[in-house]
Amino acid sequence: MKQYRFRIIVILALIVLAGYMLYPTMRYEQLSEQEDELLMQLASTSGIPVSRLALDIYRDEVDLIGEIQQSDLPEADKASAIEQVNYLRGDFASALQANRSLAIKRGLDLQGGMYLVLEVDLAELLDNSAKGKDDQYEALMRQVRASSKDPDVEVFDALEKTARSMNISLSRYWGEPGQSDNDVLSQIRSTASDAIDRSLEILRNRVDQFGVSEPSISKLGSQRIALELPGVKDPLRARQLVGRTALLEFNLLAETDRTQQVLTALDDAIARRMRGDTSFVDTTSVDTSLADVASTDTLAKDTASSDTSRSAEDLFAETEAQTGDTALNKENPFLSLLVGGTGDILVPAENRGQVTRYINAIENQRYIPRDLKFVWSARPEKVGTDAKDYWRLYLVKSRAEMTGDKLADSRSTMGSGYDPDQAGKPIVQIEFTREGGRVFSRVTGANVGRRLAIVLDDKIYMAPNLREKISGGSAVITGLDDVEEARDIAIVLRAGALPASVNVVEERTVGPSLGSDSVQAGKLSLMLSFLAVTLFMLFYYRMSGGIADIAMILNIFLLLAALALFQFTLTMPGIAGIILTIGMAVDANVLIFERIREELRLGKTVRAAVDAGFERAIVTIIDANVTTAIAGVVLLIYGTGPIKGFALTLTIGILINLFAAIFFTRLVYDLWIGRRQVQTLSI
Amino acid sequence: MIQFFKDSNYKFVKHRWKAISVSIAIIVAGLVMTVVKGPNWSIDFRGGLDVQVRFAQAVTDGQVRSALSGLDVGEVKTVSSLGERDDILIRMKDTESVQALQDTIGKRLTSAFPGNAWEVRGIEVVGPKVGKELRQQAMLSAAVALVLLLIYISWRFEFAYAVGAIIATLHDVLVTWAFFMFFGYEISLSVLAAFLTLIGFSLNDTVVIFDRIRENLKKLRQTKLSEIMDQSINETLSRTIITSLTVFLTILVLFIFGGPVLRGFSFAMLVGVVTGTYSSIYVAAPAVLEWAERKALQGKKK
Repeated sequence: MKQYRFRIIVILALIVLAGYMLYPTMRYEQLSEQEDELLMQLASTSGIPVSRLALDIYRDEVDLIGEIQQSDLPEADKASAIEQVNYLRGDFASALQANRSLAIKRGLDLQGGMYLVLEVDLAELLDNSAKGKDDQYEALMRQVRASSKDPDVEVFDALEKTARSMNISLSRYWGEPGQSDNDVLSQIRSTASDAIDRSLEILRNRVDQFGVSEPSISKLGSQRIALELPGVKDPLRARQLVGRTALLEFNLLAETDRTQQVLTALDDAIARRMRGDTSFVDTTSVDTSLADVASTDTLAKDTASSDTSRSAEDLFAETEAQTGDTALNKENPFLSLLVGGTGDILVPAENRGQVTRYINAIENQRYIPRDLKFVWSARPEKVGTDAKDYWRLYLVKSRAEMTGDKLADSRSTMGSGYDPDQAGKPIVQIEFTREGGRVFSRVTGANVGRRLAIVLDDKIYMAPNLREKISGGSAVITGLDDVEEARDIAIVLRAGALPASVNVVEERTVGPSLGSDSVQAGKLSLMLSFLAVTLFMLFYYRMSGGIADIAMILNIFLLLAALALFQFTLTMPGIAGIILTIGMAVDANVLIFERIREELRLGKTVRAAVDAGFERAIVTIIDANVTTAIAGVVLLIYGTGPIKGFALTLTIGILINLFAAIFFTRLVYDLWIGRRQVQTLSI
Repeated sequence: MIQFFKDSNYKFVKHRWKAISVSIAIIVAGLVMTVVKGPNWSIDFRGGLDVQVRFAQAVTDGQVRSALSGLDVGEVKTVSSLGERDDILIRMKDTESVQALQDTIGKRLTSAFPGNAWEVRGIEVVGPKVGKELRQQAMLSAAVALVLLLIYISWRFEFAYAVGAIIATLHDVLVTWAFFMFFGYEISLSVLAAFLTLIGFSLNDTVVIFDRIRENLKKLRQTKLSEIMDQSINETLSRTIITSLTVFLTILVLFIFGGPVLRGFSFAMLVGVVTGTYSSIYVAAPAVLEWAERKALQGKKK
């Protein structure tokens, strides 16, 4: 016995350690089951739907207790519901939290949640930092954008190449005059890298305030950001919150007569082109070889033709026939799409796509002065008695009077007071910094009588008339859809604007129901395969098979403990890895047993056969497992997301497998045969 | 003592050409189908938008298709999950504006199925750039894995064995690929993970046999290589079959009960385990033999 003491102690210590590592996981499972029950109970007493409770119960900003108190429940129910809320938020939440932080982490595919990869629009970043833009610049950037659509072309390389081919020195638009292209490029690159780091911080802020528990945000390569948001129940909203640039600007509206001039000029130009009169078009400064010029050009002539560059928004605007009779259309193709209204330009919803196309068409851009730009309202509204939806179109000064970087705070509330735009509707209150307050009062003071548009991400929420100088250092945004939107806008404004817009390039959302289905399927498969293999081994190798089965149980136990210890994440493919490990776990023992059988057949004694069997099998076991491990490690290094989870459990499984077969099974055999003279072996 | 294949003495090496012609037939058929029909790439590699929707009351994919008619919808199909109600998978190519697409789909569904609540079970969006990158990365990892394995086996055995092992592995991958073509299963990231795993698994079997050949070569110096191979394969046959059986059992459970997420993955492993076992017997050792005999012939000529 003495000679085995060390090995016995090692095994027992490992088992105890593994049990200790796995205890929080067990506890957490129990607690979350209990939590579900409690939430159901609370839902039935308070009348608040479970889905909302699950979302709001642990968020302090949500006044659940107040809501319960204001409800028309009987007093007794109110009291018990409030008690339940307090309990769930207090001791219970901390117990749950404490165990969760030590339990095996569940991947998004098992618990439900959202994985997002955002790509920072580097071309836009370039555009934002450029100075002295002119036609040549526009042509350059168009080319850069077009060529960087190719997955293999990086924006900055495209810029370098294009600039060289067009014979433009980069220092003209970026950096100092006379700087070499290489210098400018490296400067731009480092600015971009800074901008991405900043975006990361801002996104982290937003997500934290959104109320996601344990989000993970990381940089992925040079222009991407990966976000993991476990437990997100409203993916649409989360994506909006994360993807929004949140650039807040205050822009003055163009003077009414200037607006009229621009509209008329546009209308004239389009009408002339529709008549085929192109004599006036100055083609020298527009690079007509560009694909998108060609496509928008055809569009302007033939609006029915399909457009390759249309945005999805236009695509689904469900454009029906154009309004107005065709004769008028020919005469005033642009103006006929608009409706003069209460001082604003109103556009019936079905015309919006066409108007956008006209405005964005490159050959029409020259009729829009550089210091002005068209901006749409944030949402369509019903105007007058007409049941139709209208969008408002504004012409504003391109240069903002003030931007959102001078905000000190913002929060969402319900509007009150006499203003019909605010009373009883969700609004966002913004507080300026002291400097911001000064600028705002100066701007408003200097422009009394004019209209100031509040522009968020190129959408106008409101454009109030300035009746007097506003010196309070605060302002209000109205015209929001609902409380959620107000909340989200307040969050993004607090967290600050992203340096450039971001695009979702990858998204994987798993609903909570799909997640729990996966868990069920995983558990079931795990148990069934475990059972199948266990029985088979018992049947085929009898007693020895039983030893192999115990080794396999130990194997799974240690594998799970390792997951908990190193805080690895368990995913659905990870469960597949565990199941595969079960299948392969017995392999080492099969190799050993087969060898022992061979040796026994050669007439060796039990003791000698076991010794020889182990000795000879070990070389084979190592060779065989190293090959699988190599595949596993490669997957671990190069794999992404779900594959990593699979590779992880497989690789750990193989390592533990080796240990269990060589160390544990050997010990059991030694204990078994060591003491007495065994004549036959149950194998 | 229960034992399969007790004192078996099959002449594997003698029949190698029959087996190899069957393999080649399968592989060629698979490659022809690849060219003709093309692989069924999942969203991971082709990019696009997949939305999985479940309705409170079951609907057919045809109803959903007609509700979404006119939209640029690529494909609508039912995804079955065992024992559960089926989900509807809506697939689109456009990823330019996920938001708008989803909003529109949502509006259409709500108005087309009034009173039948639906929930989004899962959304997957992969941009075209990302899809291409994932593809390249997968190729790279397969290549890296193969090279590492080649190095390891050459180091532990001889180069000839490494070549044999790699041929057997490529065989397994190609046969499994062929089966994906025959059954039209989707090839996703996790299927590629399964391919890499089966590379490891197939080598596992092969290495065990090689180990025995190496051992017998030392013991039986006078015997012909082909006989040593047959003997070695027969000696390890019991183990090969049992291990393959336990792995096959577990994967089968996964295939049946693991849910739609892992179906492609476990299908690849199922086919892979069978071909892996077969190839380690019929392809790996014979390839080494072939290589060794050619070398011997060349040596005589000189």
